Amino acid sequence: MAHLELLDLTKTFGPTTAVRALSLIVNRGEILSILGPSGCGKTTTLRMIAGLETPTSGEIHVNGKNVTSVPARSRNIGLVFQNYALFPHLDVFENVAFGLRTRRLTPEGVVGERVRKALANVRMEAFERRAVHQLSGGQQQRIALARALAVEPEFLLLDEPLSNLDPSLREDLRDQIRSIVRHLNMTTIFVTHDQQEALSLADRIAIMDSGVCRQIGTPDEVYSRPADSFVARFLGKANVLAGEFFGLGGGELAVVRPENIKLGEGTRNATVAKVTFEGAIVNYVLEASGQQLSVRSFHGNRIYDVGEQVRFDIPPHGIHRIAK
Amino acid sequence: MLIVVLIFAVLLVAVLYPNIYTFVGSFFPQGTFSVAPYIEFFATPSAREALFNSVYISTVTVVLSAAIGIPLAFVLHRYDFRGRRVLRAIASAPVLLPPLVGVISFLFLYGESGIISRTLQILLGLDRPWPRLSGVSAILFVHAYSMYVYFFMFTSAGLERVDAAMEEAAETLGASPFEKLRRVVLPLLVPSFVGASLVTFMSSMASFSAPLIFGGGVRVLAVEIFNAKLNGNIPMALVETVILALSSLSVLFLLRWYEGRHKYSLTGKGVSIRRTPIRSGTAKIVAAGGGAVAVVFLLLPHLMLALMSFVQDGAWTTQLLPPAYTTENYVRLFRDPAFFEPIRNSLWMSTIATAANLVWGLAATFWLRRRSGFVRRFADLLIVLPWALPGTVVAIAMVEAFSSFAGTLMLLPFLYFVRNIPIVVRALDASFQQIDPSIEEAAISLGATSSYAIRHVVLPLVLPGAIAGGLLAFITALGEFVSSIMVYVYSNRPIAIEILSQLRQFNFGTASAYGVLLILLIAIALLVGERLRGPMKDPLVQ
Repeated sequence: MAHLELLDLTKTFGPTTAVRALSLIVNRGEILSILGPSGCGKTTTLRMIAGLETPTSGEIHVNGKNVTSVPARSRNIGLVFQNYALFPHLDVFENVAFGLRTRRLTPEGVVGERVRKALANVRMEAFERRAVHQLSGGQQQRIALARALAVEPEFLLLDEPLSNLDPSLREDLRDQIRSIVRHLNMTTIFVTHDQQEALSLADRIAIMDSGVCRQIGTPDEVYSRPADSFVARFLGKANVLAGEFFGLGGGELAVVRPENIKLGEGTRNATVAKVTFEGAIVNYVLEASGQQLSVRSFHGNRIYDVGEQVRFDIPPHGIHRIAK
Repeated sequence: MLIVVLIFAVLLVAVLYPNIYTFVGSFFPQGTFSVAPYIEFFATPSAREALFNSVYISTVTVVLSAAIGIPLAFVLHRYDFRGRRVLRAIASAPVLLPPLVGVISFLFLYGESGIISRTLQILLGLDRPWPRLSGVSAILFVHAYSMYVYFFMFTSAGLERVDAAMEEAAETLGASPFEKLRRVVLPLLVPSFVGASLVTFMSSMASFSAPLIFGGGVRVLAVEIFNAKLNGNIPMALVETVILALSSLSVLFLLRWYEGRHKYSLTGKGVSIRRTPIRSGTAKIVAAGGGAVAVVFLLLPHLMLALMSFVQDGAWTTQLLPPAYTTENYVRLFRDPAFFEPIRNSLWMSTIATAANLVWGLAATFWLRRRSGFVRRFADLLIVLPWALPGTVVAIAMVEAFSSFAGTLMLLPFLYFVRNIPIVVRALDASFQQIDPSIEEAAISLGATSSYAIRHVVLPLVLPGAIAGGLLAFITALGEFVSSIMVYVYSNRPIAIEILSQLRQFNFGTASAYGVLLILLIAIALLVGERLRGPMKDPLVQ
């Protein structure tokens, strides 16, 4: 079932190690997100999969075959670049047809049909003869996607696919990408630094930091049961507390998500240090036993004021234990 | 209001009027309307030959320059090897040679009795020196050497703008290296190639020194005009001027039109592709060896001139290398008033012309930068005209239109001023464009009056560009030859004219010493200019 397998992949640039001993399996039809802060090695990983960088050591297997030394042009991989990299001297049709006309030798009669099918996939049929610079950012993104998909690639790679778009467009395009790759049952790997994007789009998420993969799992797994404090803090807000706070062993830390703290009930006491009102949601910072706690609660009957004493409770399922 | 009058008075009187005068005058040979001179032109085989030669030589020059400049730009952009930086810096060496000086150096190297010609004769055991350049091949050789730089610079600038992601996208879509080049990189460079072809073709059409010194009887329009004028055949000179101007301009418009159809906004923010280090042993040797040969070839004219400048006048006749050396040539330039006079003349005329260029250029760019519409386009057209027209055309138009000033000292500096208008305006324009309009608004919002804002905010920001543009205009005027030969009088004879007359008296040493002096001044001015505003981004300003 493993469609793509990375085995102990390492890439160094001079003295710096961009990716360190990365191993990863991607299954057929799966959407995997590689998530991490900038400079964590996620784009280098993507470029190695595409064949644009040669790993310093380690192997890349596709369908069980070692492709580590296969050049990019023979890997049959669809890559969508962060800045789309559409060819400015070609119109939309010719951009999408580009891959069909390389040495893959698609018969000329079929090219038109395939291009139109790819454009229909991204709902851009009407734009065939437009020049690239006449398109909006979102439209360029969809053409880049169509160009990558037109060659019926082994899998699809997306480099920060939504980072260049307006926030209002992002959600719309995210859903479109998801439904297109689902519809085609296309194995997809996308790189992002945006946790919302990763959590909402991916089947599984690999979280990288400083060239090392910290955790791989479903969005719920990595969010609810982070492997370490980096993952906990990188994915949303987290209170990482000393184990003693909950009577746990000193070698352990407890991760508590702000939304898992219930106010106005339970046995613990705290002072409200800060209140931020966001409408439906109210964020508090509490002080309890010398610790600061972030709390995120729905706008209930009342809003607590700064300096007020408040009782709170953390249900057992809201406490996740990690090693120090 | 005064400023507008000044701007347009200069453009109309100095640019538009002489050209209209020439155009109209060509139809009134004896004071009455007649197309006879045109009929005569096309009926004369030698005139037709000159037109054909001009176009033919210019076309071949474009092909040769492209064949040298484009591959060199690619190699230097894509590969890393020992000596790459040296070659990169030396590649622009031809720019340092003023037109006449470069041609003379080629004569010493590759001419009938040139050092290279004689060396090859001895080495290869030939009966006569070789290559013994003369005629069309000599002109093309000089042109290729000096004008490949345009293709090199345009292509290098174009390659810098091609985003690496563009090439990687082609790669992931299955394109082989050759396909990548043919279907992505070369099409993206078309605007650069068109720009380079345009400048090369126009420079070649205007080329005067190479055919004059080296042509050996080959007729080209730029020189025929000069000869007709010298022989007093003014109607013929005017007709040839109009035909040379029209053929140059029509190629300009043709290429500009083609350029317009192939214009795409390169996003330009991308990262340029990483240079591939050359690793294999053989390739390393080939690259380093080829680079070394190229560097030597590029610097030979400069070195030759330096050598010749120490040769005793009249000492070098049939020997392989000049036999007697002296520093007398340089000492004399500054000690002997007769030898120093051309230097003094060139200095004062270039200074006056450049000062006028700066004053007028600042006023014009300042006033024009916020205008649009017809007035702006009209002014832009007139400003670019002295650049678009061959030097011979500009010179003869001025001489004929202002014939009542013929023989005066001031006509030559005035001509320098007109010819350098485009250079200075382009440099100033580039500086003005880098100033965000809101900077000036910020000054005014802080309580500055408009003139205070100009003096304390705008001018200091434009100053580096102004100095750089002024230096460029200054050195261009300093080594100017084409218009000088048309309008100089003995008492204001500039350096280039003195070089030619020393050459004609076989005083090679003295002629070369003047040439070396010009090269040094140009090198200093270019270095200072580059420090002031960063590396040359606009090859046209060259």
